[in-house]
Amino acid sequence: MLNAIINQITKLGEKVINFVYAFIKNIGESFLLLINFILRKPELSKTLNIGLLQLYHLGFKSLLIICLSALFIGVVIAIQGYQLLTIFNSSSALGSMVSVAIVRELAPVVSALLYAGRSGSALTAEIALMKSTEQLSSLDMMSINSIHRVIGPRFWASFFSLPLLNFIFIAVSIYGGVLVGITWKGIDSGSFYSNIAATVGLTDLLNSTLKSFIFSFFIAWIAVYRGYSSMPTASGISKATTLTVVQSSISILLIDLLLTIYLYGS
Amino acid sequence: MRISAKIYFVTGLFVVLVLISISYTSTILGINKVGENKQTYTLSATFNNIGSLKDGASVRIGGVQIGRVSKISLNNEYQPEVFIKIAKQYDKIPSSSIISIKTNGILGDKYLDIQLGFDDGSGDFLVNGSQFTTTNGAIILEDLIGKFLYSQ
Repeated sequence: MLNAIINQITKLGEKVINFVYAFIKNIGESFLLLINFILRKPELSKTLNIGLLQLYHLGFKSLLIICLSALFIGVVIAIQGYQLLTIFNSSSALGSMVSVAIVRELAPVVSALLYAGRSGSALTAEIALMKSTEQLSSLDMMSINSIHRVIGPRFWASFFSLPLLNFIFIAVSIYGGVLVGITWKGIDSGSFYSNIAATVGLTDLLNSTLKSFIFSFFIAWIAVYRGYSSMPTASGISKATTLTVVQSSISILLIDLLLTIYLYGS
Repeated sequence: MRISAKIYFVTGLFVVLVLISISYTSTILGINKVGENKQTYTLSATFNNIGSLKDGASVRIGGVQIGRVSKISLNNEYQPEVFIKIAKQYDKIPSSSIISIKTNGILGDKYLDIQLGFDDGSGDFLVNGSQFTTTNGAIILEDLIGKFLYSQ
């Protein structure tokens, strides 16, 4: 009886130690992978075309989902805000409410979540399948460095797509707010726009871009690492894709919390 | 790796779209009046206190909007001076008209209200650049409450 309990506790301890070990090993591996292609002279002549192609696949093809969700979110926030603000007879503050919510929080976070779901998972799946069909190994065998040739351009393309999509998200969702506020509810356009200009400035736009760059760095990093370190089996690919989406979503929300405290907390 | 011309084109289109949205956003965040190039003329008025009147606030006659505040500054005697742009079609405002700052409800935005003066048929109208002679400044709620409290 006592032995059985001790056995169970031993197994538990072993699991915890294994988990912590794997966690630290993951961090070390992914960091080394990152350093491997960040700290080197870029060979633009060889990798620019690959990066452009990835910018098309990861960035441009996300345009539809980003635009649609931006429009819906802008419209929904404007409708809810209008209901609330008419109670205080200050519906012309709708513009500033919508644009503060969009520019400071919703645009970087929602576009990052959508991007992680659409493009991050695709990136992981592509790299993981390349690995499981031994395409990466064959590149290495032909003395072409697969990390520099395959992983690097994909990382950079992914890193630069999200901030671009963030700008589009902001513009489209503010336009959604304008549609509801001015076109539908008939708020006076002058006070609508001047309220926006009074509350949201260039600093907010820059902060939003900063957030977006940091999110996209982590999404690209996680996606690339999960693909590169996946088990070369069918279930390994699916596990890697799931882990990409889960881990990047959680890290986006956590980093957003920290950044918001840092940028707006005081 | 060869890339087809279509992908170059589409990626370029993507970047152009981004530039368009950046310019749209910065226009909205930076400039008060967008897409208004109607014919207007400018009047000015000096108040003792403008309260929280903002650029772009509306100017109304009997509740109907006829123009906007275009600029707010202090004049040489450090009195707030408000410049307003009024649509060209409303160019028959008598020069004895009174302009006052009013509020939408209690918490709402400030706007300018013009009460038309007496038109004696001499054709004495406000023209581009002229100034209102009689103005009523903003009613500051705190001042009113203070007066009420200390007059007891």
